[in-house]
Amino acid sequence: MFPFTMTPQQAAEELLQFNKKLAAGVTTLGEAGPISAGVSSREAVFTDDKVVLYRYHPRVEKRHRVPVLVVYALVNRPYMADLQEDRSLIRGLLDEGMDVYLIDWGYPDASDCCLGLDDYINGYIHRCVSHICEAHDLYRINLLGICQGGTFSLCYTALHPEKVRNLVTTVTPVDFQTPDNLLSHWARKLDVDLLVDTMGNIPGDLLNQTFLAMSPYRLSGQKYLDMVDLLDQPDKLKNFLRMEKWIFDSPDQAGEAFRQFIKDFYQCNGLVKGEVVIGGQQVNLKNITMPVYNVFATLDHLVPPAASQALKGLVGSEDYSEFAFKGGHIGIYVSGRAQKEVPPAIANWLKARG
Amino acid sequence: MADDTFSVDWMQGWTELQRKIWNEWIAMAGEHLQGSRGFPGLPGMEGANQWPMQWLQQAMAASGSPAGFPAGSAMGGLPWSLPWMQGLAGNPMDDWARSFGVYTPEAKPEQAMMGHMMEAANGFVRLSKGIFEALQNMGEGVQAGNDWTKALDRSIQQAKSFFSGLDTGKAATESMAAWSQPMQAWAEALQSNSALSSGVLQNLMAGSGSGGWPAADGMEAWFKQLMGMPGLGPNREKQERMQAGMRDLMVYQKAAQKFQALNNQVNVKALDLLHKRLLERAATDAPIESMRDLYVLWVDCSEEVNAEFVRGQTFQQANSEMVNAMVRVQNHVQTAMDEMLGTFHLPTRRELNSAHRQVHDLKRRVRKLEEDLKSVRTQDHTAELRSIRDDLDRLDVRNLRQELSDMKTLLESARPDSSGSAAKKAASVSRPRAAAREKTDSASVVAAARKGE
Repeated sequence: MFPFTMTPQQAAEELLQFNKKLAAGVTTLGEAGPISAGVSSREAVFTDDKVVLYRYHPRVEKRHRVPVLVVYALVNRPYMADLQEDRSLIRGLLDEGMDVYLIDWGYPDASDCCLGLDDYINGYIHRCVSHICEAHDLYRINLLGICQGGTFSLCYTALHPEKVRNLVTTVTPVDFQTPDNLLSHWARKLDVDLLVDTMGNIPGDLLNQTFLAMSPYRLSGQKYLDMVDLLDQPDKLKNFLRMEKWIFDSPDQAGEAFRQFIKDFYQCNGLVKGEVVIGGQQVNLKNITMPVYNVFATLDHLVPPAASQALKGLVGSEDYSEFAFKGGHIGIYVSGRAQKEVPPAIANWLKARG
Repeated sequence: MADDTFSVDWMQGWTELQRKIWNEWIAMAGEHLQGSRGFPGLPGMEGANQWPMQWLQQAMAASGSPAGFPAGSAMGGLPWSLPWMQGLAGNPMDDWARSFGVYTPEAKPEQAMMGHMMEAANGFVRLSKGIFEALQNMGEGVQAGNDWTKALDRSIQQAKSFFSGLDTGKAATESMAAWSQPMQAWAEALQSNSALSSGVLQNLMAGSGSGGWPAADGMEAWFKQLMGMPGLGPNREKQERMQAGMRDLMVYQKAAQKFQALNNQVNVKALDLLHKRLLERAATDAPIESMRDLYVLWVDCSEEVNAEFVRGQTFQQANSEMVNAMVRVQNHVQTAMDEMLGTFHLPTRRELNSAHRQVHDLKRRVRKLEEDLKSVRTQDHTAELRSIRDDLDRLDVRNLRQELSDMKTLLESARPDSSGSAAKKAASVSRPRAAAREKTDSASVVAAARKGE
């Protein structure tokens, strides 16, 4: 049979309706107002250059004794972990009685082009950890790393094992050269020295386009057509806009840190080989002897599960466990199911380990 | 039945359809004008909602009829011949958007969302136009008694031919541009941070013909030769740097062309897959019921082909070659810019980077000192102090001092000019020395005292 049942009239009508919806939706979009993100109440407790350490206000009376520090990636902004009231890893942890801190890296500018991984890991993270330890009169705290922040957390813990009580990594790349890691394939042939020497900091827009190129037709076209259907549903539209704001809210990357990260991790796969050197010290994952909880997403297209699961055989801990979430790299934080599964799993695991 | 619907409905009353749509458009736009509402939520858009009378007048004048469709246009009176779709001023969707005062390419970043939506809508409408044309051709073929599968095949082939020798700038004004839209966005992003956005590359390409650097006419070889000539005179180094920059620009151009050609292959393969899927759906009695269905199917096919493509070595090589070449060109431009800034005694990027590095190093040193100082301040020295005090007690420093003093006296008295009093003095110091010996060996004490000093 002929594979089209639509008549010219129907097709024309469909386009007309589409245009009408678009025209009407433009008004809705115009009236949407500012899009907020980062919903949980918090206060800045420590600043260090452009880095701000936030402590979230508790939502339950009885709090866990050991605070947890969330270390986010340098790519994109950390409010993804607290996107909206019903989609917030932070809120979920607070509801479980966790005392939550978060590092906000800020927006690096040209004056930060020399910041390297040593500055981020032995500098900013270490000073944030020390601040929390002093504030709570503790020697060690819990660390929760997200994506690249998870890799940073692994490095920090390997270099300063005495400061970390329990380590949680989420969608964290460890083996950067698994065959299904598309970003890795692209990054390996990049002349990163030339790029950094030329650009200084790496523009966030360039990274955005790299991510878009992984699924260009869907992310550059279809997604926005689908949005037209949401234009008459203000709540859904706001959710869409909030996610959209996060996706394109991409800070520039400090040049030296970017150079090191691409070369040592993506191009040399140094974390797995034990060849990464930060601040003159070798990062040996065998130093990680405290309990480790590795959370990954089974449908992750940016950090394939195998890239995260490689951690199992590399750490020195005898208390290593995994949590596989059926979802994607972003869905693990913002999907409805994630809210019910991920924060409780992390909180219970931490509580069980004091 | 689908076949009947096709044969009857597709051929009926286009003029009537056009009039209907045109009237709807006028009504919709008029309603918008009547409302006269601004868009207070979007900065820069306040009051920017005037009905584009000029646009209307152009359309009416072109048609000479209320229907507003240019007679004998390439569209043959299809509804897609609405003026806003003919690219009167570049991107047709921009004209439409401008008419509603909501978004223009020069709008502020806050309006980016609107821009994305308009681009997507633009792509969809362009695509629909192509589909409509194809369907009309197919309908005519079927009406003439031909096999629709052949007509479908012909339409797909026609769409594929668009990607032969496609260049991005030209594609933007073509009706089939929607098929290559994602790659355009990528290309724009790559250029947005480089000197290439200045149009120098496009000018160069324009000068060398639409195909870039045709090897056949020898221009590339001539250019290479020119760029390889040794520099002479006081500006030798500058000339060589400029030559190197031009060589890199040429490398980038070739890399970009190669990348674009590969992306065109993706689009061609996606159309092949779409063809296959359409035949499958025809065979399984699962027809396409709307333009949107077809669009989604095309997106699925494109993503499937693209996913395989971007994982391949060919793409990765081409992608890295293009990006690396682009950065090299920018590097040259930056060096040239620095030279120019230096000429005007303005700070250069290199100097600024150097200053940033010095500040960074200083900050690291200050932090280290602060940490050391803090460490010293907070360290518990009590135990250490107690230990030192014990050592000092054991050494009996008071006696050691006394003994030292005695020894000095003895030495003094041992001199020849003071022999008379030597015996007396020796006698006076004998008592404390003896006392000291009782506590410890004098030689070791002296040695220890000296070491302590």
